[in-house]
Amino acid sequence: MRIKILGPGCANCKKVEQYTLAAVETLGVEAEIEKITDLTEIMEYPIMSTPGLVIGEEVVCSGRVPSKSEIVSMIATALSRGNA
Amino acid sequence: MQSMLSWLLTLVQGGWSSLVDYLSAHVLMCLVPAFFIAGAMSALIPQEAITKYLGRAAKPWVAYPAAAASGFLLAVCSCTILPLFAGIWKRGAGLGPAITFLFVGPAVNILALTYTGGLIGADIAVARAVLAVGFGLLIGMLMAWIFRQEEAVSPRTAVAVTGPARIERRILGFFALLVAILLVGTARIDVWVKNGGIAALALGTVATANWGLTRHEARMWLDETWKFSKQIFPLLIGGVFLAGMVKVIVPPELVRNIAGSNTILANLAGVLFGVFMYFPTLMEVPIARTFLELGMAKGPLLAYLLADPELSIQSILVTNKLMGWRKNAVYVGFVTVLTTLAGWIFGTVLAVLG
Repeated sequence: MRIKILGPGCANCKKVEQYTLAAVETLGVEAEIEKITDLTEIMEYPIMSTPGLVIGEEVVCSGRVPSKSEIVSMIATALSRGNA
Repeated sequence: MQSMLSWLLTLVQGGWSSLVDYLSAHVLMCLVPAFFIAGAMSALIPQEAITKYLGRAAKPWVAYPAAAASGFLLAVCSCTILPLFAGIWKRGAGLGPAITFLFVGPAVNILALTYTGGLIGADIAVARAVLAVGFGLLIGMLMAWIFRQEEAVSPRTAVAVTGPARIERRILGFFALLVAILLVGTARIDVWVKNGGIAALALGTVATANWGLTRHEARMWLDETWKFSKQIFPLLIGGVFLAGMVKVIVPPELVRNIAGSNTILANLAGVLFGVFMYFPTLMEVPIARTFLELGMAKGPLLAYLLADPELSIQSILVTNKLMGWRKNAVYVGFVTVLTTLAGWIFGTVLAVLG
């Protein structure tokens, strides 16, 4: 599964990354986590504001920091849809 | 050597005395609640609650006011300003509202407003907010009109809405408590009434945070508040210290000669000073108060306050990279001319009223 974290590197984006790492560990899934920090590259995704969380090329959250349990269910949904 | 040393000592003394002067209980009464409010805004308002009004299909009379409101609600941290600017422009309502947001944000966010109000005066804070919003809207619309052709063809895709896009009632109630603390803390009322009021409200806030917010929300709120304090407090102290040293170095005659009266040229001088001196967030406020004490007229002072966070060599370089030099040059030109005008209008209105 490929997970991308969109954000220029402010504290919120780091928090999303930290929660995502924890969520991946909780679920025990294989995941490749990539950080996208370049603003033009971020704008390739349909988001208006950072931080953004992308699972399997689909934006699942943007403009806020989701909680760890939210990220767990986001990953689970993506897995069940085969969208990873 | 001896004179050099005593000069340095005078400098440090100047900085120190302004720390004692400026960071009074009154200023702290404004600032501490403001930090908690800023933290709550950044943790508890889902950006989509605001940005849904800034979509590409949004009508101009919705998008422009929403852009100005985002400046107040979402632009607390400078690190959100540029991504959101790019987002509104490329993904949302377009160049005009994006420019409005870019202009309005640094001047009307809660920290800038309360700090200006506490340190310089409520009149300047209100004028700063009103004129920043008014001229932000104007500059946004002008930019959108000038570049209407190339903007019309630039491809834009819709934004995926992924989360809660509204602000819940309980969150609004929480904000009401925090704002009440700020208002009671700064009101000119009996000190016992004030302290009692603050204590009661603070208790209410703690209770609401404990039972009305989820754990994740409460933690995010405190995290954000702490983050802002850590990030911004050193800048506040540094700014006040610097302002005290400026007061020692700069002769009042110089300030009075250049910007002591409300002329177009004096206002332009205020703006240009803001452009060439780069002060980090909120440092412009104590510097402005020092200028006021050195004899700067209120018009040029406001022009300086409007221009300093908008335009600095550094921010011009960043927007240049994002927008390209043509749009950037037009933007910088508008900001220079219109903030000069804004200061002049404010000074003239004050003269008429006074």
